[in-house]
Amino acid sequence: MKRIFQSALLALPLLMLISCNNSSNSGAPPIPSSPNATPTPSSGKPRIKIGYVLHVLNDFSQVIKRGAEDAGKALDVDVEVVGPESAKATDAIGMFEGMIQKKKDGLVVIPMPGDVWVKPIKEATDASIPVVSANITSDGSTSSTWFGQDEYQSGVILATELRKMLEADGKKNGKVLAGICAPGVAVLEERYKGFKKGLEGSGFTVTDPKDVGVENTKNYSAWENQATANPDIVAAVGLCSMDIPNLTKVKTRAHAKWIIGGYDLNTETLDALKSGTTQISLGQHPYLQGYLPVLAMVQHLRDKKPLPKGWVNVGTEIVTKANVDSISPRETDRAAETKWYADYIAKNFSDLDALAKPLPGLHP
Amino acid sequence: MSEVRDESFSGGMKRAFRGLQGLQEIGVLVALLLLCLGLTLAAPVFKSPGNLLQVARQASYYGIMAVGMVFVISMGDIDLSVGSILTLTNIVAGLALKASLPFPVAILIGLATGAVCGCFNGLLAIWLRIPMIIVTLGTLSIFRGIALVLCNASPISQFPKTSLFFTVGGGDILGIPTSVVVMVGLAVIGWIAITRTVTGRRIMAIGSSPVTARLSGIPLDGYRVGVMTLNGTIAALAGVIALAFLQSADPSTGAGFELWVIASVIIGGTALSGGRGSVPGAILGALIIAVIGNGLILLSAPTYAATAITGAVIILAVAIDAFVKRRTQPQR
Repeated sequence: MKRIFQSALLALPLLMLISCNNSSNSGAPPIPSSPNATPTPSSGKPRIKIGYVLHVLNDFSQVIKRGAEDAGKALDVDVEVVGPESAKATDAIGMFEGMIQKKKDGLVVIPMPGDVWVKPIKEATDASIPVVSANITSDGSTSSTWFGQDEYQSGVILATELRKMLEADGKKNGKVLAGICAPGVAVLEERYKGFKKGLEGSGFTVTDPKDVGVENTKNYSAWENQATANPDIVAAVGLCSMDIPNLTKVKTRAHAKWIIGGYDLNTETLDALKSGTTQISLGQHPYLQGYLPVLAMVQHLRDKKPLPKGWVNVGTEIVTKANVDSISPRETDRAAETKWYADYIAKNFSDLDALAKPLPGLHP
Repeated sequence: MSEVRDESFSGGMKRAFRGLQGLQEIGVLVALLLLCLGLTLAAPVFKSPGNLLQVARQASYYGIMAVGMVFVISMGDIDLSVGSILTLTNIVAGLALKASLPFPVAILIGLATGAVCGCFNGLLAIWLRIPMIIVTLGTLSIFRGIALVLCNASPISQFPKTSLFFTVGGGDILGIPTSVVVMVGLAVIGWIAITRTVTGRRIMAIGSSPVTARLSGIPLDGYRVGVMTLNGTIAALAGVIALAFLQSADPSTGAGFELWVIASVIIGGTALSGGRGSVPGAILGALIIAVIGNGLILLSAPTYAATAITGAVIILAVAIDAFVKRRTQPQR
């Protein structure tokens, strides 16, 4: 009996591995064929295989994953999306190298942090596997195509909108508390620099970016402690997706009056915008960051079109109480999301090459 | 010959001092008091009742989990999967609430999940004859992976917030955060169990010398599975409490907790080699960690240096603990 149990325990990981190969995409809604899609390959040709390596598995990257997988279905190619459970570059690089070994036809990667990805990306391109990056750039790498938003500019936009709101509220000066969940991560630092720049010349001052952590209870506690230490703030701004939900709870429990701004459109953030507890959040169109790189790669591999040179801006979406009701259905319903983005892509991203601009540099 | 008792004030003070000297937790208590004193002087808002309750609540997640970990480490084992058990139970209980199950059922499902995880750890270590540290290193990823699959790596929210689960479980009892009440209650039970019961003594005996314990007729395997199950259940309790307070189940909840929980237990005087453990010490250790986090923010410590300062202050606290113990307790 004991031996049987031991054998069963040892067989468990094998069964899990096997089940992984059979678990893709069950239960997903039907995907409209992409208006930008090239024709389905003739039956004799092998299917194009694209690998997509995320920087971390979380609610934000799940939307990227959905976009990439929807693109795979719409364009009739195999898309395998993987990512590490926590944001460890070494784990993600290991997965990326695994994709090279699996001889994918093309790779998409979120290279966080950019500079450590230069070598792995070169390994892939040396093996004649084209690489496109998304969300984050990898300066100096052999991936010359990037799909994302201008993080610095998004910070400027957030500051400008927040300032308008404060001034409309009769406030001409005061302290704005800024929090960063992962100090040192370039995209977040860029957002902060942009935010600071956007408040220049106003009567508002922004604090140094306070480390508020990624783990949920730590993030809440950090914001709570910051609110205690800074009772005189007029606004609190978080640069990561988990900040707005926790800031909202801290503000509600403290009966505070400061306004909240931040990033991303998860369910709790949308609810906070609807209730008016949070005033502004910027969406980064993560779905497009999944879909468009796969589209570009398929156009390159199947139609032999060159990859777009430079940066394709997926756009920054300003969401407030005024427009949250029109955004919410798309963000909370899978089928609505797929349909909305199919129309949006057809309208705005018909020629990726024409949209490509020089890569935005990092700001001092 | 009868002893003449000194009933004067100074005599009472001397007796109290001697009593304190005998306390195993005296060092960590002094370290915590010194930290609090320093912070009170440097940042007056630290001593406000609101802030102190806040710190106690922030410590409660580590504190609750540290109670279970004292049993595990005292027995000579270690559990690296507690953070992931918290994550999994947080998600499972969240899904149960989302499925509109009554909240007592959701709590029970959460606790049962933790118990199963802990039991699984214990059984795996015994049947496969693998050290617990390796087993739990593996299950750390397994439990977190299951949690990610169950919630699709996304937070679960939009519960009916008017239920007692959120208003009381995530609120206060007579002005004290519920999580702190749970931590203190659990600590009292844990302290009695480990110091006043046969089971507690046997756990210490196993930690001191497993061979002697086995020869004395203590069923080692049964105790190991039992303690790991208890530890899993307690981690699940922390997961359920976190869900009640944060009003959302998030796959990031509990990530990295294992190191802070183990740190709380070790700061509190539990021997990593087993055979000695202190539940009150572990709670004090958790409080030290929370006080450092709160203090760094109140003192506006430079963001990028804060992590390094946290580590340095923890080492300082343990050094104070060791110094005080050397001064007050006879060398054995």
